[in-house]
Amino acid sequence: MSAEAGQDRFDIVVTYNGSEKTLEVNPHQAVQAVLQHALREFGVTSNQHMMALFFPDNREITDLAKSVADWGIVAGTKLVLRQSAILAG
Amino acid sequence: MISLSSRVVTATLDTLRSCGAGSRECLLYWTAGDDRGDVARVVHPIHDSTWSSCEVDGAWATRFFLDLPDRAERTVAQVHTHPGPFVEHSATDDAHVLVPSTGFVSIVVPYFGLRDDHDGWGIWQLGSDGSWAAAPEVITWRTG
Repeated sequence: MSAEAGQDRFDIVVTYNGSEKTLEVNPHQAVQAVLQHALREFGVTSNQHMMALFFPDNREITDLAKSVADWGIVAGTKLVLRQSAILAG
Repeated sequence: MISLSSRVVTATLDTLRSCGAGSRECLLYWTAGDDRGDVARVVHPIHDSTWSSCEVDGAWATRFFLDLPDRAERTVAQVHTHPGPFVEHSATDDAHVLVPSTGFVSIVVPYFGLRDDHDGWGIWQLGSDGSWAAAPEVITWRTG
């Protein structure tokens, strides 16, 4: 990582089932990397491909190739990690 | 481990019965505020349901997860009904549970929850390999 990129880094908060974790991100990284980081932090190993990050207003972060900045994620942003669809049958 | 009082069982069955009315599936969650797994709340989400399926409202789920840290609670189990005696986990149950983390418990209640006896409940736990296994031992049934 370049020193310049390092200087851009900031903290966001991700919450999952009662726990909150602070993740350091940079505005240029793809949100796919943020999602993978969150899954590791919370130890979610099952059905990872069905998990998604949501803003508090329930907007789902769908295009994982877009960057943190593209999605308007800034220092202090809180995101929710959860299943995209919660079903039983 | 989940420690379950008879009051929680009663509240659970009351909810499943009033929501499902003997003709639709219902789903709810148990939360706990401590490591002992004492169930603190029976939480009934906004959900759609049919005779054989449930879908939890996504906006509700987001609010629920935002609210849990403030309450110092976590979800320890999902409980949902099936129409008949079948209490196995379906493929949908396997894939779309609220908390796909090792150790999470999912309970299937037969006959839309219309029977009082909990001996017939399917009690499943998610393993570290991603598979669900019967785990009746994870629940401690308490009177009172």
